[in-house]
Amino acid sequence: MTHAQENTSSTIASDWPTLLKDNRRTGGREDAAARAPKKVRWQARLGSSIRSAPVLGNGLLYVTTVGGTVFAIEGNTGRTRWKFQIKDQIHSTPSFWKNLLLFGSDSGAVYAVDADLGVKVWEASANGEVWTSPVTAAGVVYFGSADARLYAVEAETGRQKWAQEFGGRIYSTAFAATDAIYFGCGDGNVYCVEATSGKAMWHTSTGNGIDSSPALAGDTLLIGSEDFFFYALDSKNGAVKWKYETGLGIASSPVVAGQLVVIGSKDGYLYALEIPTGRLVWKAHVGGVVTAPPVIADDVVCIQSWGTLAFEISTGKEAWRAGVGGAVQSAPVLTKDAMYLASLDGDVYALE
Amino acid sequence: MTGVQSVGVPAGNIIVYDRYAYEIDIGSYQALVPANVKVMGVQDAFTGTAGYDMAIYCDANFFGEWETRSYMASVVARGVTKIINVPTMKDHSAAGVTGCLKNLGYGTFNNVARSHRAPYSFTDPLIGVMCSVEPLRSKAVLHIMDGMRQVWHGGPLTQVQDFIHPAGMLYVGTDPVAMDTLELEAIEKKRRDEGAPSVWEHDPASITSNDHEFFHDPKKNLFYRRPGHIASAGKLGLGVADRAQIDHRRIT
Repeated sequence: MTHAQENTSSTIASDWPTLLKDNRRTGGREDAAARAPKKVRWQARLGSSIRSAPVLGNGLLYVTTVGGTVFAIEGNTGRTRWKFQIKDQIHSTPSFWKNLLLFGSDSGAVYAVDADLGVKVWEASANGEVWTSPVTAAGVVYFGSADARLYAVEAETGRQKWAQEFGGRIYSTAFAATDAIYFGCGDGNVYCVEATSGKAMWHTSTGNGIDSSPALAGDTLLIGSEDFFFYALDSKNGAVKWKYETGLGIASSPVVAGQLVVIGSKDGYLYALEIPTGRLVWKAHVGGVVTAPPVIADDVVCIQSWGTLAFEISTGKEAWRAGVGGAVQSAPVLTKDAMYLASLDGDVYALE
Repeated sequence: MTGVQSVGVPAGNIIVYDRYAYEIDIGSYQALVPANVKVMGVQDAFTGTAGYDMAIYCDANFFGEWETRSYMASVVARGVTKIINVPTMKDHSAAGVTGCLKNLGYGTFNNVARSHRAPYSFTDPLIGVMCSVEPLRSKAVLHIMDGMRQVWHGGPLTQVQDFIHPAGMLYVGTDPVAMDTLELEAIEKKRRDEGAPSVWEHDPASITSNDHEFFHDPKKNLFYRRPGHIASAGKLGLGVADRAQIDHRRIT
C-alpha cells in the first residue's frame, strides 16, 4: 500500500463533534497504529511557532501556525500543496466539515477554507480571540471565544444562528451532542446548553477555571478543571457522579477507551480511571507538565510533553518514546505507517 | 487583577506577560483572567527576537558565546507604564533562588540561559544588572511573591512533590531586593530543616551532570549557585539587602 492510498482512509467528516473529532482524539483517522518510529520521512520548517494540533485529511496534513498561516502539506513528501495567510495569529486546532477546513483566529474571526484549494469560503466573527477548535453537528458549527460567548453558525455559509454570553472566557472546545452542547468556561462552570438556542440547561461549578475540553461517554460528561480535579458529570443534569483529584491543574482533555478514561495533569502524570466508578486503574509518569490531550491508537495512548510517549492502555506501562529536535506539546497524528508531529519551534515532522 | 481594576484601570489596559508563550499556556492564564485582559508570551518559540527591542540590551560575554547581547522585551520597553511582578518562590540551581529579581530580569530580557554553563554561573551580577536597566527599573513598582507552594530544591523546573513545601505565604512589597533577601532566608531555613546543604555551598563533590540525580537528591546540584546576586542588586541601588534594615511585617 502506498502512503497516498493509506492516507485516503482518513475521514473528511460531515460531523466533527469534539476536539480532534472523537473521544479517542483521532482527528478522523480510522487506520491508526502507533508504533515506535524508526526514522524521519520528512521535516518541514514552517517559520512560525505551532501551538495547535495538526489534522490529516485526504492525504494532506493541515497545520495552523501562530504566524497566521495555514499549511496543507502532502503527507507522503512534506511538500506544501497550498498556504492560506491571515493577518492574525492562529492558536486554534483545525477541524473539518465536509470539504471545509475550519479554524479560529486571535482576531475573533473563524474561517472556513476549501480543504483542496486553500481558498476562503466563509468567515464568521466573535468579539474575542478564538483558540477553541470549531466543532460541527447537524450542519451547525459551534465555537467558544475569549469574549465569553459561545457561537453557533451555519456550516454552509457561516451565518450566525445564535451567540450566548457566559461568565468567563471560553478556551474549552465544545462537545456537540445531538441536542446539547457541553463546554467548560473560565468562570469555573461546566455548561450544557441547548443546541438550538444556546440557552443554558444546566451548569456545574468547579473550584477554578476550565480550559479542558470535555468528552461524552454515554450519559457521562468527562472534563478536567484547574482546581486539580477531574469530573464525571451526569450529562442530563450536571450532577457530579464522581471526581478525582490530581496533583495540579488539568488543562488536558480526556480520551475514552471503552470503560476507561485517560487524562493528563500538570503534575506530570497520566491517569486512567474507570468511567463508571472513578477508580484509578493506573497512573503513569510522563515527566514534564501535561497540557496536551492524549491520543489513542490501537492499544496505546500517546501523549506529548516535550517528546512523544506511548503507554499501553490496559496497564499504563510505557511502550515507547520518541524525541525530535523541537519541543512538542499538542497532539500527534497517528496513521498506519507514520506519525506526524508539530513542534513549538515551527517544525513539522513525519516519522515512520 | 481585580485589585488593579478596582482602582480604575480598565481590563483592556492590563497585559499579563511571561517570557515564553508556552509557559503562559501551561499556566492556563488565558482562561482564568477577566475578559479583555491581554495575555501574551514575549517569545512564541525558543528562538527569534520578534518580541524584543533591539535598541535596549545588556551586552556581556560570559563563556565566549556568539551572541553576547540580551534584549529587553518590547512590551516592557514600549508597551506598559507600570509592572506588577509576580514571581513564585523557589530554589534555582544556578542563581540560588528565583524571586523578584530573577523573575523580573530573566523574564524581560532574552538570551539569558547563556549566563550559566554547568557548573558555572554568572547570574551574579547579570540579574541585578538587567533589573537596573531603564525603563524596567522604574516601571516595576510592586512585587507579589507567591510562596503558597515553595520549591526548596530542584528549581526552577522540578515537579518532584517531595521538594515542594506548602508554605502558604504571600510576600508583598515594593523592594525586590528586600523581598528576595527574605525569600533566601526562608529557603535556607527549609533546606536546613530538611538536612540539605546551603544554597551557598560550593563543594565540588555536590556537583552532578546527571539531571535525575539532581532532581531527586537535594545534596546534589548542577551549578555552583550564586545567591549573592541579591546583594549585588542591592549595591546597584535596587533595594535593601541588609536583613537588619528590612521592615518586614507578618500578617496572618
